[in-house]
Amino acid sequence: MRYEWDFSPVFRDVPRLLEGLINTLKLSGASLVGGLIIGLVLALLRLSGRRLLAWPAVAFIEFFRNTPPLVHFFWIFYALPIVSGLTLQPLAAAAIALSVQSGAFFAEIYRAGIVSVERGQWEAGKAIGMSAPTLMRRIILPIALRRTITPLTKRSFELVKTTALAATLAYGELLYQAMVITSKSFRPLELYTTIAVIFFALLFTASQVMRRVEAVAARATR
Amino acid sequence: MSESFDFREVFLNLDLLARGAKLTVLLWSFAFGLGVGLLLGCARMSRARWLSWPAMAYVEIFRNTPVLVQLVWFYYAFPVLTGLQMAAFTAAALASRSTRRPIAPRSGAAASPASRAASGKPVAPSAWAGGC
Repeated sequence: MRYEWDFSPVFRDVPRLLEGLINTLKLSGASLVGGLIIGLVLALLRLSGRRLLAWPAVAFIEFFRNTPPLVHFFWIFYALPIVSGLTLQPLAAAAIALSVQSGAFFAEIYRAGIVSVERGQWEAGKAIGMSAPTLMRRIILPIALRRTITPLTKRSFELVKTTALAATLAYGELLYQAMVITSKSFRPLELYTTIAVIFFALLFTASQVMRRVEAVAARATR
Repeated sequence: MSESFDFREVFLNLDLLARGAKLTVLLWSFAFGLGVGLLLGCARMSRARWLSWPAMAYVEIFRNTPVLVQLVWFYYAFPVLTGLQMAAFTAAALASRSTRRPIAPRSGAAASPASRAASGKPVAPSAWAGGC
């Protein structure tokens, strides 16, 4: 069967796709910032040494790591308003769900980085009279963060890909815009291929850039 | 205004949920079971370019696109291209088995010390038997 490719519906709706791309980036950026902060807090709570703080953090992390993000999206968008009376816009709901979900993953990465710092660094810091928070901020975290650039990057890419799920909340990101255009033009092949290519170009470029950054960071630590 | 939880609907539809869980497990085993990842990992490690480059392209394409886009593509776009309308489950199996797995054996193989591959060589005639 010969298929006649026709990309004119794609070109006709470029502004719509651009808007989708911007929305995807907006959601990714917001969730990335939120996730990195939530993750750091969770990791510090988990490593605090106080059960009262550590156990809830562990429960939180495990819950969000072992449930699908789509379920978080639906729960926050459809179920939370019933429980709390708080109705969220799709962007806010998606950003919260993604921040919390990726925060749980980031927390484990931070934790691995912090735990990997040699005991001698802790002892040296204590020996010169640093308080635990100062020691963490000035010595441990900088070392830990440099060591975790690679897994943090990898997880961030996962996050960007997960933003496509926001289409299910009718948030106007790339996939949703493609669905809208497809429903008027009946050209699923061209539209979905186009957004796959856009996602690919975005993430592939980003991964090449991050590879450079990692190389520079690795050289700096030597 | 907080509404009280009512789980009756959940219990009334347990059979439907159980069917859903069964499909989830089935898809999961498809993703792991076909061994595509292992084959790709080996192809990617191969010194023959005609093997390693397509494997690399495959891995990069599926690693750098969202799963939901792959699902939608296989279900809505692929049939247009091939005239082959598939069941939702087939599309899901195709999309889920193509994601992420490929890199696992590669990083595993790359992580095992070179000496292990070398020690396999005197015994095994080919790199293939030595663990790809």
